[in-house]
Amino acid sequence: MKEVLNQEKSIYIQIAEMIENDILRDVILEEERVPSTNELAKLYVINPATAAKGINLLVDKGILYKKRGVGMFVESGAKEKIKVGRKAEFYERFVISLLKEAKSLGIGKAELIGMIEKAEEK
Amino acid sequence: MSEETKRLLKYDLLCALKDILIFVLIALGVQLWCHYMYKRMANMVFLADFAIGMPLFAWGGKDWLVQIRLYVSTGITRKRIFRVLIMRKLLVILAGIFIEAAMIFINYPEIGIKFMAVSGFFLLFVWGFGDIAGVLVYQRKKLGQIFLIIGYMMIGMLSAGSFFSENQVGFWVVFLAEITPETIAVIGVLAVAVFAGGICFAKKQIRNYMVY
Amino acid sequence: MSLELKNITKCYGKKTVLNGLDLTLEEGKIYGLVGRNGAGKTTMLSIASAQNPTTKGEIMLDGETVWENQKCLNQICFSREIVNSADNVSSALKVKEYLRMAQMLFPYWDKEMADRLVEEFELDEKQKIMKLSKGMQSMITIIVALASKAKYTFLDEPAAGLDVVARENFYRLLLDEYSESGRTFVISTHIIEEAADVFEEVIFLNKGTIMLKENTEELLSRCIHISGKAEDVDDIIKGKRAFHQEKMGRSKGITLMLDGGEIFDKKGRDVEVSPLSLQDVFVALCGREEKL
Repeated sequence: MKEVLNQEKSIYIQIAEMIENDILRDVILEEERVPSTNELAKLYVINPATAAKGINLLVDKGILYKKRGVGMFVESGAKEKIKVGRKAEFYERFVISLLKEAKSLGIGKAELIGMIEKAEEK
Repeated sequence: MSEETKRLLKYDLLCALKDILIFVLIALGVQLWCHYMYKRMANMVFLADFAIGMPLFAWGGKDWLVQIRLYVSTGITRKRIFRVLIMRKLLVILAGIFIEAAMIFINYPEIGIKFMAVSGFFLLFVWGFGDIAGVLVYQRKKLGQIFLIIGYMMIGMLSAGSFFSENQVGFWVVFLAEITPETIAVIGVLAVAVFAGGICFAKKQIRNYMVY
Repeated sequence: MSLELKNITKCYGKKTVLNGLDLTLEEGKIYGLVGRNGAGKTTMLSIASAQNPTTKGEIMLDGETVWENQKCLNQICFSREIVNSADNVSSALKVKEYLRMAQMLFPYWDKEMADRLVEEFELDEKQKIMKLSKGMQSMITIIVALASKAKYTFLDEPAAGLDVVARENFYRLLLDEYSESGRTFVISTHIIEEAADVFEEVIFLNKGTIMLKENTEELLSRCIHISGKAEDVDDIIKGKRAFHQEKMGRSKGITLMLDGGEIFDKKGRDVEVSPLSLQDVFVALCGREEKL
């Protein structure tokens, strides 16, 4: 659960992603409570405002919702939402750049598919 | 007096008492030495002057280099600090004079009043001179160090000199018996002038006290 | 209730350390104060806590002047670095005495917390402060700062002398106390990178004025590093604020500071765009701004 923070992305985005990862892996289930802002701040040694920003990002995405006086909870259907979002990201981040890199190396579509099949066998 | 001033005064008096204790111990040490070496007691009255006069002068330097800095560092206003310093020195002088009065009227009642007057003026002078020296040292002026040395020597000699020989004590007793009211008045004016000068000088400087 | 530093100038003799500095500190934030040695961090903090007078300018808390105002000063604590020098009396005191003095002088002092921290840090109360290691002296300034419960608390290089483990402990303690009390903290530090995650806002002090004061994350999101072939780089940085140029052969690296919310356009050029750490940003901004 505690992954290490790096400087590649804004901290609050990393916090949001870590919570999403936990939801995907069923570490936190739907309708369960997620750690509070203060708990996250203590765990990762970051400013609570940053943790709050990460949580709010997920609230805006419809992944979390707030139960007044109790805390933040995972929305029903959040897991699906995350998967969809991640697939879109996957397409942008990996597929598009894969094609770009292949193009710059002169790897054609057929060769590319051949490589994928070879990797799948392993 | 506000709560904060009371608290600061209490703390400050505790620190002051520790300083006085050191000089009292020195004075007692001298007593023991006198007794051991010369088989008699040193003069208690003059020892009292030593035990009060020395710390009073020493506080000039210590306040300006140490205490004021400490108090300013914790965010107490300079006005309050100055008030407390005056209260402390006043209380100590009054206590000292009271003790001296008791001792002088027991031992040398004939010079009683004159001794109290001269002693009182002496302590005022020490207070003022100590402040002047202290401020100069804080301002990193060499004159400050010189004044400190002069002050210690002078006070030490005046109050401690009579420890060591009967003749010395006798000298003082005769001196005070013969001293004219006019001379005492002159001493008084000088002492008050130095005292007033010292307080004004200190008050002006403390307004801009800086912690480097 | 905010603490305002208005047009602060401070001269020591002929030397001007702070020059027309303006700064507003809002309630309930952890600020990082970053600056080079001699930039005036300690001076600024000691002026903000009325320990030193200004040459020009005023400090106001909630609209009232702080100077000689005990009501305001009761809300401010500046826990200075303990320096082992002949004229610094704090070092001659024992730990116990120093803390007892702090207790008497800070009206909201939390003795329980102070005692608990002394135990946690394994400090010997009867030791003389000047005989302690630098790390332990730092711990004492931290204890005073935390237990003072002052609304505005300043720490000057609290991590100096602490080893890595102790530093992380300090940040945790700070965050704990902050979460519970919502006090405002201003931490001046050299060790920028570790502390960057803890600071909600960061203040860069350079050459006697505030170079910038911004939300840490927002600042980092608008500073990027571009590198690649010199002509490519030059083309896309036109019209932008650029700092700290690095040249090596045909390639060039440079730091860009975008406007808030601006998205960077590579214009199809083949260049590396990478984010920067807070430390990198600070070093770049202290370097030369390139005129394009």
